[in-house]
Amino acid sequence: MSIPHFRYIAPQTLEEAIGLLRMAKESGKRARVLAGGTDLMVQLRAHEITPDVVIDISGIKRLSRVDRMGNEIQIGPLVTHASLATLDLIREYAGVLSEAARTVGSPQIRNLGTLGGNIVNASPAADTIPALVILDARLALRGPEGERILPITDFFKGPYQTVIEKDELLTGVIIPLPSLNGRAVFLKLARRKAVAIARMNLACMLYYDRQKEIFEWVRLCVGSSTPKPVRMTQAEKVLVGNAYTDDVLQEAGRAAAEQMVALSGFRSSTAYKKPVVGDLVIRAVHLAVEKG
Amino acid sequence: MKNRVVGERVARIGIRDKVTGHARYAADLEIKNALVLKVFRSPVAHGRVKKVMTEKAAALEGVAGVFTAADIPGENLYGIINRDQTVLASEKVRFVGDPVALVAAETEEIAEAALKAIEAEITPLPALFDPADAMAPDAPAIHEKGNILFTRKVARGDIEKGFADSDLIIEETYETRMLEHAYLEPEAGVAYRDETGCVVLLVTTQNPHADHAQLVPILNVAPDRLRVIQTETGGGFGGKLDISVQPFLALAAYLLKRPVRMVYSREESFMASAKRHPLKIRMKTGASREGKLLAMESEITADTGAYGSYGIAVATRSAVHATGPYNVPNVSVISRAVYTNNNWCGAMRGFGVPQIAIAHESQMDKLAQRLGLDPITFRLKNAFENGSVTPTGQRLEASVGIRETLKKIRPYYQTFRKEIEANPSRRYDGVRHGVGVASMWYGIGNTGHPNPSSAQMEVDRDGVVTLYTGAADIGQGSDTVLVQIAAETLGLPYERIRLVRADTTLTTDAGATSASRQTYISGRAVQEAALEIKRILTEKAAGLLKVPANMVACEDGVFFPQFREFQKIPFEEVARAGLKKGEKIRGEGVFNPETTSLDPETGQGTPYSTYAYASQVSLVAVDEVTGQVTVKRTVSAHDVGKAVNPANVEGQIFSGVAMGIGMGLFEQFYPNKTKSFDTYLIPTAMDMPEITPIIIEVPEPTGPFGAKGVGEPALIPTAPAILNAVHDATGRWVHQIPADLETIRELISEQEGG
Ligand SMILES: Cc1cc2nc3c(=O)[nH]c(=O)nc-3n(C[C@H](O)[C@H](O)[C@H](O)COP(=O)(O)OP(=O)(O)OC[C@H]3O[C@@H](n4cnc5c(N)ncnc54)[C@H](O)[C@@H]3O)c2cc1C
Repeated sequence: MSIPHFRYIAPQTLEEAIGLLRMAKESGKRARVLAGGTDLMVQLRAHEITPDVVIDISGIKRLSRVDRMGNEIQIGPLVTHASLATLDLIREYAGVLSEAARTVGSPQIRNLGTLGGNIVNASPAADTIPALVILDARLALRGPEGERILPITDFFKGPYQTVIEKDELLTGVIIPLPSLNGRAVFLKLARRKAVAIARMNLACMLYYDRQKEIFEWVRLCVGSSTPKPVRMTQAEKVLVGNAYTDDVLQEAGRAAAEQMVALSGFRSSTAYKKPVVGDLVIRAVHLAVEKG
Repeated sequence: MKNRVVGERVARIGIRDKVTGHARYAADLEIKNALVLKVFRSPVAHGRVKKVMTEKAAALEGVAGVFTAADIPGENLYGIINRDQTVLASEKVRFVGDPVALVAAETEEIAEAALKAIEAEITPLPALFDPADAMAPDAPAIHEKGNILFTRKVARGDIEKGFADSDLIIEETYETRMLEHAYLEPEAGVAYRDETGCVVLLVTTQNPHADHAQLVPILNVAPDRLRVIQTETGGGFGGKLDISVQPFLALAAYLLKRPVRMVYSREESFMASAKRHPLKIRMKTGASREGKLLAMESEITADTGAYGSYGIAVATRSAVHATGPYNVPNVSVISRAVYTNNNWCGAMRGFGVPQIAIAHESQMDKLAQRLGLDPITFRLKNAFENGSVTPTGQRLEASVGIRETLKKIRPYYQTFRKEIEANPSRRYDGVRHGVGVASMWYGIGNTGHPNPSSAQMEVDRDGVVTLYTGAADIGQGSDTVLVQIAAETLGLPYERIRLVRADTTLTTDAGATSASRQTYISGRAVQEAALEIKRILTEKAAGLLKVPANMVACEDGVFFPQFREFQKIPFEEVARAGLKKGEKIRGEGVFNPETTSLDPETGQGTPYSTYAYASQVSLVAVDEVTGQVTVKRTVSAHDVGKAVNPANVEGQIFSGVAMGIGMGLFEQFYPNKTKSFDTYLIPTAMDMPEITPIIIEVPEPTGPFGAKGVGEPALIPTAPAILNAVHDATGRWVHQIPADLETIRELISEQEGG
């Protein structure tokens, strides 16, 4: 099937790109940003979107940088999954993001697909998002009026819905360096081992104090199971301050399952997902503790 | 004499072009001025076509023609076994996707716009999606003759007595799913009229001669006014046995007298092409306390969807193979192919045998477990051997390698068992391991029908040797194997033989590339043609060497008298001797394996002249949290008679295992819902286990150099072995495929719950 006709522009600077987005917005034209195109091309081919203009930002060099700035690392939105999986800076300070990126699609998809595209596309199954949530990431958005920065959990309105304005670009992902000696785990459950959309994915980071025999802190986020990404706070609460025992783990699993159902209601997939999410939380916590 | 070419891993013909991307498939063919063809398809599953309004579409700038049933010059009816399918719907549509009108336009976009401008008035009729509903006495008829396309019965011995004598009886119902072939290359072709007006089709296909035979009545032209040439074909798995783009290409090129091209998108391929028949199988098996099978009764229902295609073959093959490769004295099978308004189902690697094998191999493991026998011992107690009589009353005389295959996998079975016992799963690992065994048999060639192949060879005055075969190489490697057989027979280096293949003007009918038949049947035809050439040349060489013909040998392209090897004459010199300009030496071969038609009431007869056998063992890991099954190791032993090219045989085994993993664990095609690979999941490289192929050669006397076939057998034991391994790991039997996350998790939870 042929893809719809559109104007294609490839600006080389951020200012140019934002100018183009503003112009499109003001003239009532539908514009779409293209980064790696691994989501966009699929939507174009299916005629799910019919933009008047496609703005290819892949030539804007400063958007593919990764920098350490004080207590934070800043990741440009054009950084690909392949880079996230291999860059030392990410592996060292945001290992769970590396692990998540490694599970995306296939080598071809990881070479093209970007972090920014994964976030802005806002699929509930996006693999990097649970990792970013537990890393407490913030997003920098830039429009004609300047920049705003918001926590990643405030970015999503629902499946494929975000707060980004038509004339805004995602320009950076900011991750605070973990202050505590946490251990992180990323689990992806899919129907096959590659090129597979997550049936569920889960990022978990925690610190278990072996002397005191308690969980000091825990961050858990499960993707593909709630309308928008959230921390599994109820399960976190069960764990924090408690010891690593079967009972506590089971209780945490139950809490996660209940929170998932409370947030997403009963669906045809719930019969499977409810028990599995609990067990996956237990598995992730177990693996994180064993790592430490 | 030792084989020099047969049995060797010679490089495949055309392999360099394929791996470097230079091979030209139908969609790569550039053809000047070609019109683009698109089909308007039915949006309803069952309906009466009242009116098709094409005027608006035809009036669009750039549209060269819009055709409906009324424009078809000949018969608007085709079908490979029973003719029930229309090129363009005239009265009825029977599934979502049934072709209604054909558009030819200057560009793809104009063609798409024209499709949108077509209006079809179709009155919906009640649609049936379940064979059980379609078989109900008051069900609306999808076809005039009723909804049961075909019934096959196989009856042998005394089934009542067989069960009465049994100490143990197991009965279960198994269900398999509708599957998509998922060949890499979607349907595609080009067509034009040559200088003489002959319509020439270059098309991806598994059977150019059958395409030709089906297209001639549609166009209503003399057979020589149509030529079908097979292009490089990117997989078929049975899905390219039926005609797809062919009638559209032929029709438009013929009527418009312009070159045309048609390439299905993946979505159109999914919607329009045949699928694997989903089977519902009730099977009851009885055995004695000592572990001898005594009786097997089965009722099989195959959903053939909107059209027959190969439905009759699937109903028959599943019935004939329903016991598995075991001696069962008392058998009663009834197998039906039933029309519904689902996507039509046709041939797919194994014609119902991969489905029925799930049933008979699960039954075998259930019985073995109850009898306290290990799965290999139990199978060996019952496996065929020379002299065994099959459920159709056929006495197996030779090349019965099933026992060998079981014996060869046994050490692996034991090793896997020990590995599991040595590594019990740890807390929170949630992984259970299991080992599963499955066996199969598979009749080579068409069932109970003559299915000859033919081939010709020529040698000219320069010693150029040409092999002509109608056999379509669809990626499985028949080009290579046929040339190997010719080269070995003639005593020529493999590279010396030119090949002309799969062109209805230049070659004669070799039958379909299906039913694992080309190596065995076309291979033998090629061997016969080569033997004739060899006889002629040997006589000539004998004259030149002044020795009796039975003293002459040819090796590596040189004739010499045995015991006097220094006296050599090159092949081309022998060829030239006595040949006038323009003269050629010709050889022809025909082979039609012996079969008889099956008795309609009892199925008794000789459906095939030979069978392939295989056994497989798989080691799987089952994640009890997620329900995910991972195949870790697979050992697959196949009796192929003779591996003409071991690398090709192994290639088939690897791909069969891959396909079987998809069938067993992932794949399910939902009519009107599954649109593309987005939701239709086939295994990736990452899902593949380590595979150990084992080749067993129990020669088939009628096969070329003893060869049989392996194409479909490679797939058949895979899914059953996985399911049996899942049982070994979890203690739960899986009666429906795919054994996906939900199915397995639920089975495990049920067990924990009680
Ligand atoms: C075969 C296949 C397998 C896949 N497997 C996975 C997988 O396993 N896991 C997974 O999470 N995803 C997967 N994906 C989805 C996709 O690859 C990822 O979401 C990828 O990260 C998207 O990035 P991109 O650069 O290609 O985005 P694009 O397609 O270029 O853009 C996606 C969306 O984001 C917008 N956008 C992109 N960048 C910006 C920006 N800087 N500012 C504002 N808007 C922007 C675009 O306008 C568009 O709406 C898969 C896709 C395919 C085709």
